[in-house]
Amino acid sequence: MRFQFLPGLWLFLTLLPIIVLFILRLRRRSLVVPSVTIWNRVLKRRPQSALWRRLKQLISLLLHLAVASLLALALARPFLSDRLAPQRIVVVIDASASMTALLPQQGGDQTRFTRALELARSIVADIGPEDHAMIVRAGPRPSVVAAMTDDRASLLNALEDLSASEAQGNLPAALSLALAACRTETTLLSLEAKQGASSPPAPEPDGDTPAVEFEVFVLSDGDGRQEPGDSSHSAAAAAPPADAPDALPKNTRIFYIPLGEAEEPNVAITAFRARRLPSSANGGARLSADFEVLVRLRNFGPDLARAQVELHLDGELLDDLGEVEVPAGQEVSLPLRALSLREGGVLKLAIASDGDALPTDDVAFALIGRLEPTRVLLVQAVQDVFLRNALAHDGELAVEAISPEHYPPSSGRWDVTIFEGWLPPKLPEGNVILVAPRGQANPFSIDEEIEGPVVKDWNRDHPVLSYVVLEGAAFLSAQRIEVLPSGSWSVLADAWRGPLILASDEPSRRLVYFGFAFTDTDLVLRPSFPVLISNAIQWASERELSGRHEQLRTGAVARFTLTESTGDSGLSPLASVIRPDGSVDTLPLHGEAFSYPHTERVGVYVAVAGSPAVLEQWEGSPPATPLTTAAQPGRRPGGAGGSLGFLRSLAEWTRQQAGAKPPPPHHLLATNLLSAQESDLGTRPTLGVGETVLDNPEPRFHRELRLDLLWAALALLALEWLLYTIGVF
Amino acid sequence: MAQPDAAMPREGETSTPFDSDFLKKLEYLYIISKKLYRQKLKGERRAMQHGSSVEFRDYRDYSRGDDFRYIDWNIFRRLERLLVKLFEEEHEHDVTILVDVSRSMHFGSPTKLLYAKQVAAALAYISLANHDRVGIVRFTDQLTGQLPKVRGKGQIWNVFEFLERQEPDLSGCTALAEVCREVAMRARRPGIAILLSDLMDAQPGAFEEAVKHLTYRRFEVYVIHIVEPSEQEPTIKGDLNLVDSETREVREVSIDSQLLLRYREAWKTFCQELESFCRSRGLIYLQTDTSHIFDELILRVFRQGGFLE
Repeated sequence: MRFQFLPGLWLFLTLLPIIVLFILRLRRRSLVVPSVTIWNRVLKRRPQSALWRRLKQLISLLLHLAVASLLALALARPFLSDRLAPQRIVVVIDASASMTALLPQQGGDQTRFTRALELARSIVADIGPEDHAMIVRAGPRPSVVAAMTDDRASLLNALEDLSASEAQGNLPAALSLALAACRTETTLLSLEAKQGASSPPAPEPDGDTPAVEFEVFVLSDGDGRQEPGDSSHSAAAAAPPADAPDALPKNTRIFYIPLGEAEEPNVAITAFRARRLPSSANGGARLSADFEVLVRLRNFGPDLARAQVELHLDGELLDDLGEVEVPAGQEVSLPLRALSLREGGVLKLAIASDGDALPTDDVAFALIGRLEPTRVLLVQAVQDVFLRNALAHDGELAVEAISPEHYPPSSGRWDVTIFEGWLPPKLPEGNVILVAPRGQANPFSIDEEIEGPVVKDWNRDHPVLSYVVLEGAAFLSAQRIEVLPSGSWSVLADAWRGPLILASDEPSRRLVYFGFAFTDTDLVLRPSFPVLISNAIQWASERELSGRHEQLRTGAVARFTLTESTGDSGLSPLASVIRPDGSVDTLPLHGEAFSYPHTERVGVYVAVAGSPAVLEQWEGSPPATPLTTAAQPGRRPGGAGGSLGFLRSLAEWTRQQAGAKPPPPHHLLATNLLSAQESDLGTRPTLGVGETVLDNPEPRFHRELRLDLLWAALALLALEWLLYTIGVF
Repeated sequence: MAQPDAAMPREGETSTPFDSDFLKKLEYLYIISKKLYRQKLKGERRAMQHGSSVEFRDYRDYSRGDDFRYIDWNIFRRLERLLVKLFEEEHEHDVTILVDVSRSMHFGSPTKLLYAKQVAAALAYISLANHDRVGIVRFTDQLTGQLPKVRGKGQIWNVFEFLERQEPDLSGCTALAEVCREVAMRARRPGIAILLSDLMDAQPGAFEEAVKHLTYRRFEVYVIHIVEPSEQEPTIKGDLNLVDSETREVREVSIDSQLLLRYREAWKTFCQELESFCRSRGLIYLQTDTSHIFDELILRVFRQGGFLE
């Protein structure tokens, strides 16, 4: 038996006054009365012998002492437990998209995640009075949803508020977080023990006395089957080796409760893109353009699957792609379709197959084009027609070319500034592309030049060099650049004697550095040159981060750009983000761009400049009620309409305004799962971290004795009352 | 009811119980009683036997040997039946007053003993004034003193002197049965027995047995139960050792309002048992407490109880 509140035992000191009072009570005041005949009748007792009287008094004393002792014990909150030591329990709940898969044995009503919540509730409900527990959500970014506490109610409340994401999870990071919490708790307990704090005892490395035990319960499907040789996303990576300084805390055990089956039918969308055809990129104002759509499906199930594929534009069926057969374990690419689509629309791909266990990967979204061209300022000190032509042929750019004498221009805002052969005394803020620059503001000290550099290698995975071939390119000369290892610059293309192309991704801007003049190379004559320029502008203008096609994987950090501020009122400008389900997040807007991490749902996110209250200003001319409705924080406007409903309302509102009022500045972003790891629903039998695999949490035995003791004290009081007041004695 | 650890006589209470005021009250009572009840020379109370007084009582059929003088010839002339007239026999009575002087009688204010002595004096005065013979017996668990029977109003001073001499017997318990048995045995002829006591006999059934002894000798028994107010309505509370003043028995009690309520019920039952027993035997039972004004008691309570016919 252990006690939760040892100071309660001080109540045993009340036994002393009880004894003293009892001794005093024994010396009763004597009173002579004419006769006790009537009193004998009342008490219905015969005169008692001295021995019996003393025995009765002794029994009374014992009863009182027993009652006081029981109350003291109850105050100390004793309990019985089958565990030798207090427990610190960490429940890691996998909240990745795969956890939303339906459990076939549950009749299709229950998902892996709801089952995990059930198990978590049973674990929390089973914690003992000395135990503490915390809950970690293993979503795209692990988070502690309930810190280490013994408050069962708050833990259960945290579980009530927990929901699964539609994004790829990061179970290793969650496990690392759980183990880190165990280590932190160990340290805290040690400090408390040193400071003389009461229970529980700190873990003692070599002691025999039971210390705090740590148990980590992982309720997960294992983040899909591990591919052979792929250890980057393995949960085992979270567990350090035993001899490492940050090895598993002592007395720590990991329990893995796998959820789901080894094989479950699921056809998933693994790629969905809408790309503008080059022939339609002629610049100028246009309402529609030709696009081609890329669709790839993969069958993660054990059997051949047939999927019905449909393409929707702004909620209306655009194209029925028919039924597609996808062999088991195979990936199928659908033929490219050329479509004439309205810019600014939202394209939705939906598939349906029999017995599909995971609906999250059966839908994907893509945005058609963008509303605003990228604004480029070209400052040329040399006559470079190649660069000018490359810029002029990109229909998504709005280019203004000036000479160094006219720099800086009197007005205008620019997404990217290109300096070719010249530099101002100080680099401007914002994204910059430097082409063989000369001047004091050069980030590198150029002392000499390389004659006839030969490209050694280039980073083919970098967006700037995507689809760019540098092999065989001839350079007359190039600047000799010394790159400091500690700098933010990364080399994109390297020659034998120094880098040729570099990029820097700084927090506030991006820079691309070309160490050679475009007039000194034959690269400008190759097809790769306009691609290189386009890539550089896209990447530098940050469009690649949020995507030229404004497409992200769920769970990734989105970066919204709102070109206009609504700070007319003098208050800090705000931005509202309407989620796919229609709920609204309001954030402070510092500058034009802001990051938004809560992209866990598949669908379209809409960032709008202004708070929900500001959005109401636009409802002046009807019908604008959807704007207001959508702008209610926390509400789900339009029911199933969500953010798409908001966009439809916005389009209608803009059409009816007919230019009288501009639409509110907004930025769209489509998020899709597109994760083979999540779509592969095969449950991993083990995590490989030395864990114990369980089907269900082991039931624990905890019994608090406080109520029992109180009932016993009450029973003794009733007995005493019966014996001495009612008059059994 | 209770006095802390002391049943000692209070000074001045018993020194002059029969002062001039008391004597005036007695004279007043006597005058009242004379108005209420006409008395005859041969004694004022009608005996149970048929006698030869002038007070007609009944007829009966003539039988051989009856005195011809008592035949009612008027009846014979009308009915042609010989009926003999019967007359009440009147003679003087013996009045025995039994005064309990046990320790329990020394409680209350005034004490029950003082009250009993005053009642005894009043009864003796009225009886002597009515030409009855009066004797007084004091008792505890035995007869501890006796005033031989006296007659004539002039003997009242002897009665007063005897009663004044009576002090409580602090060592004496109450034993009603033994005392009454002895009184009954010593009596030469039955008369009136007036029992003045608080009836606190520790022996169960002692009172009933005592009354049986007296009635067996054809005594007319009058029971005057003297109580003090605190016996009926005790006000004590708390954890106490109650000590019986006579038996020294200790009763450990924790008195609360609930227990007091039960005590009052038990007291009421106790008195009802005494009264019902007396009524079932045709005896007179009167209960009085020491707070009653003395002369009122004699006129009201005694008359209500049928003590004075």
